[in-house]
Amino acid sequence: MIVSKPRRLGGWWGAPALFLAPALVLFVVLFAFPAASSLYVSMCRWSGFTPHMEFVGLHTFGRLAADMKFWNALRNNFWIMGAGGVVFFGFALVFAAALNDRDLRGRKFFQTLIFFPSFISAVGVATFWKLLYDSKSGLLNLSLEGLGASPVQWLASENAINAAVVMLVWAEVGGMMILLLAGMRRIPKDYYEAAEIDGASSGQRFLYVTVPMMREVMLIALSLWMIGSMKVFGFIQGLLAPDINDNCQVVSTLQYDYAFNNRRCIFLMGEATAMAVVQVAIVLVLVGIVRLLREKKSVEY
Amino acid sequence: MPLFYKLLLALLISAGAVLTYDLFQAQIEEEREQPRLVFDARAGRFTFEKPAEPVRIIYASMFGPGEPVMRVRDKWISRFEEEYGARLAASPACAIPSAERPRFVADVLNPARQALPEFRRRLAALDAAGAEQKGPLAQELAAWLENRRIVVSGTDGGAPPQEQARTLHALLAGLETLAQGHAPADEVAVVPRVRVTVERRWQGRWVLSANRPRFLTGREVPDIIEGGKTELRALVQDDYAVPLDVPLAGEALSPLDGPDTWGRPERPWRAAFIPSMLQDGKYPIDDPVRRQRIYFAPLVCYTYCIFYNEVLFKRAGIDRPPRTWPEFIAVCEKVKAAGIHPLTADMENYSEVWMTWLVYRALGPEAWQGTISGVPSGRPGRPRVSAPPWTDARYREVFGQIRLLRDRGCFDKAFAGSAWPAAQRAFASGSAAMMLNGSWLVQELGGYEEAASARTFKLSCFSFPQWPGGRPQDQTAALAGTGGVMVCRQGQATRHAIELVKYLSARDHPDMVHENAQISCMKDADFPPALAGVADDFRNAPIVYTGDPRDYAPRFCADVLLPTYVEFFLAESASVDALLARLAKRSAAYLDNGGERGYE
Repeated sequence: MIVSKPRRLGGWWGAPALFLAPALVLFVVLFAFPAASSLYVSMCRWSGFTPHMEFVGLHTFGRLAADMKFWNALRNNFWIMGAGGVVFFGFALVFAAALNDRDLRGRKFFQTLIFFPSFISAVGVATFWKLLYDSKSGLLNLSLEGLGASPVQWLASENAINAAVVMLVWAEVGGMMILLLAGMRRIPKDYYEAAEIDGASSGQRFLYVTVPMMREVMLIALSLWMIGSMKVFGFIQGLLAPDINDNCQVVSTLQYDYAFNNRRCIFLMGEATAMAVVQVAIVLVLVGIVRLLREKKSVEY
Repeated sequence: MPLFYKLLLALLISAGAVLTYDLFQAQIEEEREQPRLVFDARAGRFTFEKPAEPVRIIYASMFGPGEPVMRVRDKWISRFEEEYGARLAASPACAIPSAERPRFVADVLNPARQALPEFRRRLAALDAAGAEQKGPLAQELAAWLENRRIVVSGTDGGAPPQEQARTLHALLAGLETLAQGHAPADEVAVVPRVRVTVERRWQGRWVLSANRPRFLTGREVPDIIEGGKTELRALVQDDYAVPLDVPLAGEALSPLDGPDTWGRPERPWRAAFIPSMLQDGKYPIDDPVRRQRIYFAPLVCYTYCIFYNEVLFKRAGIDRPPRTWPEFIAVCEKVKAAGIHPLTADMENYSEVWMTWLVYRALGPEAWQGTISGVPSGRPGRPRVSAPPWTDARYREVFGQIRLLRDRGCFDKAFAGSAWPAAQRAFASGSAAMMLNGSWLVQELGGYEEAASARTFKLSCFSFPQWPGGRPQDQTAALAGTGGVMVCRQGQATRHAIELVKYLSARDHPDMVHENAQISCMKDADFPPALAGVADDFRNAPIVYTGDPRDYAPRFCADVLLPTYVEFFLAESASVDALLARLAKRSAAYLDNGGERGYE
């Protein structure tokens, strides 16, 4: 008996194409095309108001390379990523380790308390901190004055980025703590018991059991922090706008300033998009490095 | 039923409901726009009111919802809608042209004929009703007729019931004659009914970006944009603004040379403006064609002056505000000696105004433009050079005085880290005696002033101090920036939009001046009483400086001048020579690179 093969819809590629089409169309329309367009816009002189774009090749990138504001902004992003990251991870890890102790009284309460700022929108957090930091009537300076100390210009250009880092750490540490805590809770108790029997102190248990076992989670957290600190916008804009001093810009706020600045009405869509391209490239490189680290053999006991 | 199908069904039902609602709304809109037959009770005549093409003007403003300027503008725009609609409708009525007759018969006369029997029956019921029922019944009948697009004018619901009934009988008689074709249709005048609507977009400082997609697509582009010169520059650069001193297509006169329609029609519109303010409507950047044209109708202007708290001045023993810069420094010292901060500010906000005013007083605006935009050098390879150079002794003196304010501790200690509106709060609460600000401070302080006790705060202002040794004309000059409107080339109602601008220029300045303390750009306007301290100096100023480096050198200001100056201003200690050397170096690079064109 001859059994004919079931016919495929439209040949060998028909059925897969049919099922993939909706997703592909969405991907092309909503991602691939805009991304390719951005690459093109980044090489154009364009105010964003007329359909006419003048192709200038890499000229916009050249301008960016000579633009001190951009380098300042990039430096600030890396400062947030580096210095901010150390403080941020430090606190997140300490909080997570402390709250990992199941015998701790009020564990849930503290967990909620630390996580609470993550519920608030960036603008809300920034407005709150702006009021705290205000040098004339902010709570911080009023408290300092009450203690007899001189007021600090928290939002002055030389301090503003550090003030922003403090705010960012306060706002985001809860989310990171939850991630790390989830990672810690996945570590089998037996390892700790074995280490304890072997005479390891609590510090040693943290260093030699917790940290190595958390490597994977920590690398993911690191990726998230790097991406987040590279594209941070709402917190900085909320804290320092409308007139952000050039020394306090980050790439996203400067990009916004170039593309949509409504106070100066100088619209540089080409340069702003070029900045976005550079930003994406930096994120890709950094995430690539983290990925390489992740591919190294993980610790097993 | 699987969940997926339930969701799909819910989605379809929702879409159907939205569509039905939309259609229903469209039906209502359609109904409103039907022609109607109007019976003038006094004249005993019918008119055929034909809806004309509605006039829709889109007005986008840099003021946001709730701002005092917005409230005044909104009120006058509403009045314009009524008055302009009436003015357009008041064009001479004419007999129904033959082309319109079929429409008149189909849309108005035939429905009226059909309504006649019911009309007779209801009118008979009205006649039979008792005196106390007549009024409500007459009104009910009038409403019933109106639903059939037959309107009675020249009387109102408050008229005695007998009179209403008589009018309805006259209407019935006229309608019967008309319906039977005894009255020639020529006796029915056709009147356009014009509905003017102004779509307001109170978009705040975002006005240009908010309308960016509209400019890109060419759809729903605002006819009018309200803003300042920075918005003007951006719009003219992309060729989106209509020059107001060039006739529109098919017209003999430009809008500015046309009559001041809503003010004094016997004079041209341009005569309604203070001339120097109108000149501020020119495109500021050096451009052979655009620079000659006026694109901007200035409606209000602002000046920068020094506001002070009279109570604190009295406490410090100062009986009159300073007139010259040395007097001003002496006042600062005296205030400080009384244990009060002389000045307050929020970081670098308005810090550049110290620079602008002092340079204008000491050197004059032409000199500054010469330094920034340069003058021809006559040397090959170096087309323009700064003249006078930044190293000129007068610049050293000016920036030295600004530094002096900082070094002598004239500003309150916390100013370098405070954010708007902390300085206003500090000023109104009596913790600092003076504040350099734009004239809009009066409006912004309104709330504080009401809250503050008269024993601690009384607002007053004085003109920026004169500079001994400066040119005489610069000492009496005023400094002003303007705010106004531009008409967009891509708008769909350009002519109507110009009427609206003319209307606002003629009508809303009393409210702007007295309610909002805004200085008007119109000749006929008063000066805001709240700015009495600068009124004489401003009104008698032989020159009003309206230009600013941000207008003619925007990129230089954004990238070089302001960042460098702000750093100098905010630093705890800084050297004037270092500042000037830095400015000279960066200025030379800017000019060697072709000035503003170098950024292209």
